[in-house]
Amino acid sequence: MSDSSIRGGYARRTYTRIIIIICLFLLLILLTGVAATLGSYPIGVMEVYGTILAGHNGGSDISTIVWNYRLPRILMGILAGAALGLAGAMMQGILRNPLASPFTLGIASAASFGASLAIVLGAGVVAGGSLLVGNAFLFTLVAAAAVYGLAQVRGITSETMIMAGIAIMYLFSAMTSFLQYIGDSEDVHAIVFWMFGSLGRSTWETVMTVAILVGVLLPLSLLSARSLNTLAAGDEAATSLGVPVEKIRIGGMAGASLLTAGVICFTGTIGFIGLVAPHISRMVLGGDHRFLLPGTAVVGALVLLGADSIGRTIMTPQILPVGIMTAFLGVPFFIFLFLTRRRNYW
Amino acid sequence: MSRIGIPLFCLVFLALLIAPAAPAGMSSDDDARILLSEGILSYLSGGVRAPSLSDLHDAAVHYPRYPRRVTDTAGTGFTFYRPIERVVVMHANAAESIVALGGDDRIVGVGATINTNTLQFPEISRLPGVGRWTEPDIEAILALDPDLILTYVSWPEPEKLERHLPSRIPVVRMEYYKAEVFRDEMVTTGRIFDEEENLDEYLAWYDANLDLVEGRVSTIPYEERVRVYAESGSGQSFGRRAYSEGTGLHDLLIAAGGVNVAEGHVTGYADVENEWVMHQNPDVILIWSGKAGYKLDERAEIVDLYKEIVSTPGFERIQAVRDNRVYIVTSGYAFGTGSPAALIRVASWLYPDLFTDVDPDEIHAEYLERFTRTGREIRESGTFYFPDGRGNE
Repeated sequence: MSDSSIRGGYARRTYTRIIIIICLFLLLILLTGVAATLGSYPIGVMEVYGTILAGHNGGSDISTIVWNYRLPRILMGILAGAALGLAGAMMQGILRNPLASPFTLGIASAASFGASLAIVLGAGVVAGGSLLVGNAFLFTLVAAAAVYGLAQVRGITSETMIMAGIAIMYLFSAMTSFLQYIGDSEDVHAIVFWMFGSLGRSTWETVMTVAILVGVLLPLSLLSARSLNTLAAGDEAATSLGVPVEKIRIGGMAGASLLTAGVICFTGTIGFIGLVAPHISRMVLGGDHRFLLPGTAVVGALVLLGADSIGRTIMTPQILPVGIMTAFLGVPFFIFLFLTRRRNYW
Repeated sequence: MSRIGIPLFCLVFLALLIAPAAPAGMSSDDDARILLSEGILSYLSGGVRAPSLSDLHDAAVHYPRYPRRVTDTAGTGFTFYRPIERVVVMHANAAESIVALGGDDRIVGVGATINTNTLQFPEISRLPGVGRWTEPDIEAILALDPDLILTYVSWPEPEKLERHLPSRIPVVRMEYYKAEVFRDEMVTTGRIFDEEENLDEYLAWYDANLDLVEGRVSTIPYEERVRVYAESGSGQSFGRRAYSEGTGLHDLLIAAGGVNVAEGHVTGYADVENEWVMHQNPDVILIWSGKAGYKLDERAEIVDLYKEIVSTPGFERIQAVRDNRVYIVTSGYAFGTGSPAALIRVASWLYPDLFTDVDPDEIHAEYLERFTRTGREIRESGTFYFPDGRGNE
């Protein structure tokens, strides 16, 4: 095969990947437009868009519903899906393991423990109404630090980090179970509901917080894409090519942990996106992190927003928890891709 | 005659003596005679579930109103041949009912929720603990050598309780918080504890209050009934959780003459969007909370629930919020033995004009005085409903 045909094939694949990402992004915009018209208050399509264009005046039910409830919920779905997907893709890339995600590494378990601590004992580091959010955020970072600290003892490799992550996950899960055991039935109910995940608590303040986080960390993660590609060849190969493996691993894990913490402290544990969105993207776009990372962010947003939109309309006025809907929606699609893709995508 | 021959002869004699006295429309004493004769015949025929000789002897000689048979809410029948003296109670709803009937002097062990509820159960909360109603401590239960255990219909599961107990310890399963079975459960409890007189006194109070409400609200035409949105309040992690058919809160508001806006839309309870509540535009919002009640330190959580819902964006345009008709009832008030007081309270919220001559506070105070062992502290400081005129509204 000639050099030019190899270059031509690479250019075509690159072009195709860019087209796919653009198409996914357009699909996300379309879904956003549809989601804004869905809800249990009967508002016409044109009325919704008219209200969006008119800006928030808060003087009518429709304005309040569109601006206070629907738009923050939709934007949080997009941002949270993107952040969780990105965090999963980074973790899988850094650890070279298809099962790595913020949840299999104990980070979500730690958030659940922090939330449970606030619900059952009312204890935490932040006082007042932010107790639960503050606890979930803090314990997520504590778990990430613990995983790092444990792995550090044996050397920062993918194996040590996964082992440490699993240990931390079981520890925090056990502590959450203990709090459920000593809590009253209402507390247990609240914990279970929190662990289902929900976009229903989204406000413009929480959306802005997550937006800043994603706005900062998404470009940074893209900057590390080439290093992650090199890391896929193995630690030794990456080191020999001048990639600071340990630095990339620590920085990537910190970024992924921060993304996860910033989202799930507001939404509860939406557990599926971080694991499956990267796999779906990988099957569609391949393993090049320059395309995989932005692609995963868009796929994560699509899956979460789609799941939430279906969850709040399929049995209206009842809302099905988004954590359940993401699995209902994402797993069949994942299995379809898994069974129909011919080549070994991982 | 041999050693077995004499008691056998006595039993046959007793069976022949007792059996004819079984006409229709019998008293409980008649019931006892029939059950005794059945027991004797079962014993003589060597039935698998035949009572022991000592059971029959005690019932025939020492306890003329025994045996007595009851059926619990799970549908299990029990026959008692002598008074129940040692009872283990797994959950607070059952304890509350036993206290109301004056049977608490026979409780020897209690579940954890009773141990920690010192203001509602100042005496029995000090009794030995037997674990949680989800996780019983079998060794602690056996150490107390109970005659009977009272627990929920579904919890703990039989695998966790009956399976580990000798068959001589009956496990009676009743809820005490569901309106549709509550009255029957109280009757059963009265029979188990042989407290029929107290039972009659309690049922007279219970029926009088229920009849009072029914008499005043039953004639209101459907289209004039107050439309109520019922929910469990937005706790630290909850969204809007609407309550409808199959829940105690729904039964309460229906009995009070209200119409549940979630009926037909939601079964049991389910999460709904704020916008749906705005679309329903209810006349009254009724919130249930498991906090406060007999727990004096939880008033702030009730106040927070109230503030959260009235300050939810867009809710200021809901009729209920505009008219200051957002109310909270606690589980210690709305369900169980004290529920008639809560029913009158809710009915008077929905139809104040119909209940101007009734003071719900007085009825609740009467309940606390007559049917609980609570002290002045609870009467003066307990937050059973909100707004209660004691501030923070």
